[in-house]
Amino acid sequence: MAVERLVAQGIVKRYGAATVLHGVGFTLHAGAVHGLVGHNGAGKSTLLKILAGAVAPEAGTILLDGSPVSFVSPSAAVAAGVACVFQELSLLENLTVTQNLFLAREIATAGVLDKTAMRTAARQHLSAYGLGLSGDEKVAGLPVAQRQMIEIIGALARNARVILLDEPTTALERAQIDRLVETLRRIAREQNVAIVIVDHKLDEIFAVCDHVTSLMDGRVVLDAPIAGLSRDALAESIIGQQEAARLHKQPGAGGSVPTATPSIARAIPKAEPILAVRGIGASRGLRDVTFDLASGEVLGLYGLAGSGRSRLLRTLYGLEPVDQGRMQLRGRPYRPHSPRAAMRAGVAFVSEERKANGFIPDFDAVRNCTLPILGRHAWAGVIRKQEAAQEAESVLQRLRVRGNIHAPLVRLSGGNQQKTLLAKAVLQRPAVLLLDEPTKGIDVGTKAEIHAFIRNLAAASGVAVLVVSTEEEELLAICDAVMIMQRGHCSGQRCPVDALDDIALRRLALDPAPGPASAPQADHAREGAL
Amino acid sequence: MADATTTSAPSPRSSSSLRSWLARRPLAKQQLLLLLGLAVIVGIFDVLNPGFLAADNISSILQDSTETILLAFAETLVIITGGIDISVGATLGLSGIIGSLVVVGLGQGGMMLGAFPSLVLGTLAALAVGVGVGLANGLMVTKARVTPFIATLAMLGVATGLTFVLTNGVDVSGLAPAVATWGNTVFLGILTFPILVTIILGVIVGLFLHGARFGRWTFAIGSNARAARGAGIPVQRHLIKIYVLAGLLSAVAGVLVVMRLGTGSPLEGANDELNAIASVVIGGASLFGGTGTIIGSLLGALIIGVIVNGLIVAGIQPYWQTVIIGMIIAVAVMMQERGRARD
Repeated sequence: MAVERLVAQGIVKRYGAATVLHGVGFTLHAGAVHGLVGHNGAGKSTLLKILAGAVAPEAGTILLDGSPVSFVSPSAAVAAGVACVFQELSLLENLTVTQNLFLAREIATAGVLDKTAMRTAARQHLSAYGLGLSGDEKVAGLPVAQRQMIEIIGALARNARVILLDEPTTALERAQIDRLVETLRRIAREQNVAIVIVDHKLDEIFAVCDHVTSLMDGRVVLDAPIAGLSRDALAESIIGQQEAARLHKQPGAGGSVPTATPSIARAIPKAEPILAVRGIGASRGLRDVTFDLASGEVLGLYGLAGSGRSRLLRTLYGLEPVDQGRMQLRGRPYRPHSPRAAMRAGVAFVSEERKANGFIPDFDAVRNCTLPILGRHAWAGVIRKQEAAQEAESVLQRLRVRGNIHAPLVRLSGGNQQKTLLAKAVLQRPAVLLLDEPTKGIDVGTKAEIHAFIRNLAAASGVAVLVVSTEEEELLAICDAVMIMQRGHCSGQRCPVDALDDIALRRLALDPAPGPASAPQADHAREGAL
Repeated sequence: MADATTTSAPSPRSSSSLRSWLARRPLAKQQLLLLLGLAVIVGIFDVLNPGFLAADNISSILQDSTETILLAFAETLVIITGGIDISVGATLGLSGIIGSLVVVGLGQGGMMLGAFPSLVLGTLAALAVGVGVGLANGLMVTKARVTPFIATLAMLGVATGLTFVLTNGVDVSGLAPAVATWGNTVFLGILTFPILVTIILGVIVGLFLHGARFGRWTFAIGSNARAARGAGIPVQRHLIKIYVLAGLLSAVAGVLVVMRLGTGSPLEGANDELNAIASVVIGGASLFGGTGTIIGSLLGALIIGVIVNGLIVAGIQPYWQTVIIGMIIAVAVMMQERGRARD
């Protein structure tokens, strides 16, 4: 057996009241590729960040080649030989490949750079891993696959003993993935480093890994060599059949979220679709997305990280371009080139990134809400402030926004910010409402209020709602049916929530072939209508 | 200012609640402090130079400040969006020169109408220059994605250069004497035509910025452009309008300068952008965008105007002006940063 390169024991991490990792331990061997799997929110990313020194654990020890280490920062981890390639690549785009490879460890004599030596060394590294680059290219012009390889080579050149890769294949295409898998295996073997790879795709795990650790709700549920492990056993550990069964036996756990008018509103409407999407695609993100959305229904969209869920919503709202396919809204062709165009056509959107692009931090709740509807409350551009504020306040009250609605919104709690954004969307009187993670980072009570509001909005006002959520419970609580998104693709198959539970959802997201529990309804009959 | 008083909370009834009223209205507090600062500076100069507060000196301070005030209004709009326009001074110069050249070129016109038609055409030409410069700035910033500093730096070079190409560096003389008469006649004790125009434009721009959708969008873009776009605001089109408006206000300032001096001087406007930016910063706007008021910028410009005038009246070497203005900017910004850190 190879040497134990890194041993982690009893790692505990808490964020506020929530414990994300409950004493996780695992061992990395030199020369081996180690897979780290688990469902959304299982704690993989947190574990990776702890190993990379970006997050400090509350408890636990890490032994690197037998000696205990405690990283105070990512640079401390790099100095110790643990390098991390995160999803957002960290190369400096305006520098050349060589400059990036030698960043902060430039070869120099008396402060004068020895460019020839660096270029020669860089070229050796690059050709050793089959990158046909001279090293003089600017990183900005290179495709993602090559940038990723450059990061890995950079880590090796810095004498990394452990390399951590966070979902390295999400942005890659088939052939590139194969090449990456092959290279990673070779690097592990030849350089005798330990590689950790976080990945959602089982076939890739089986292709690249020697050993796999599966996390579920912050605990290790499976830790085994890949040889002799069956695909089903690994899938089961991720989906969490036993774990879920154990939880469901506990009274009060799961499924306790209250919903409004369950039975009537849950029937799938027979109405004509208000939004019809046919085979839309966009470079690097969406391919052949087809579905229908009808008035008064709440349709869920579920998928793994990187499956294109958010991208689809952003595309429908005109924030991202569409390359192929057609869309119809209320029977008319729909192809928004800006959020303004989408809004005018009757589409509203609540972003997942509240702070980054959801609200105006300096504006209070009322002003944020009324921003898109000032046209209704202005004469020749002069705002009738009282009137606008009254309309906003009525909706904010209906949503029970607590806190000072006349203070800058950035000072309100996350839950109240989210309610304000929901109010802003509703004030636009949309025909279609797109919600991306509508209750992300919000307490349970507020969550239930928002869920009830969304259900009621669809049932009472006939708004068509499309919800993206990584929380199975949430989709099951508020949706009439759920569609699955996989690697940028959505077929439009709907699974009614009555036939679903969280396990079935996870299974569907992981495996393209629908399981027996799901009973999806093909909905291609309407395709001829366009 | 409107921004500070829109909340529906009741206004203060007694002086005891003044403190809490101000605490809830940081902008009003800021403006009160500026007013206080202005009063202190005026007081100091009045002690140093008896007669400083005489009506004719107040009128002269205001008259000389109209240029800085109008450019500060223009700069306020741009700075609230998170941008900056360093071409306002050069735009002032170019528009004034082109306006003067048009007036002189058209001559005195028909006997019946006198100089009037050529003056109107000259003014329109000057305003058109301002709009053109602003449009070019706006297009560079939005469509070509040039950062505002660089785009307007380029415009500063082009406009200044054109001013000298057109005049060979020599004043445009030959304007009707009536021009200077209109520009400098004092009425109602302290008012002049340039002061009146500045007041009217201040009221209009203030209402635009603090009471209209136009202003709401301006603040939204400066505070979070991505969220503003998501809320359906046509961000690019709005930014173009902002730069056009800034150019137009600079051109108005250019026309008023010519009226004040009675000639078109190619040196006018040079380095004026510095005082304009200083006024806006002293007035409490953040260069990161999202904050700023017309009243604040007005007070900032007046503080600068009073200092410049006071130093001249006191007979102090004029080179001290920039030293003192520079120190005031530093103090103003440090006070703002302290206030922000407390938040």
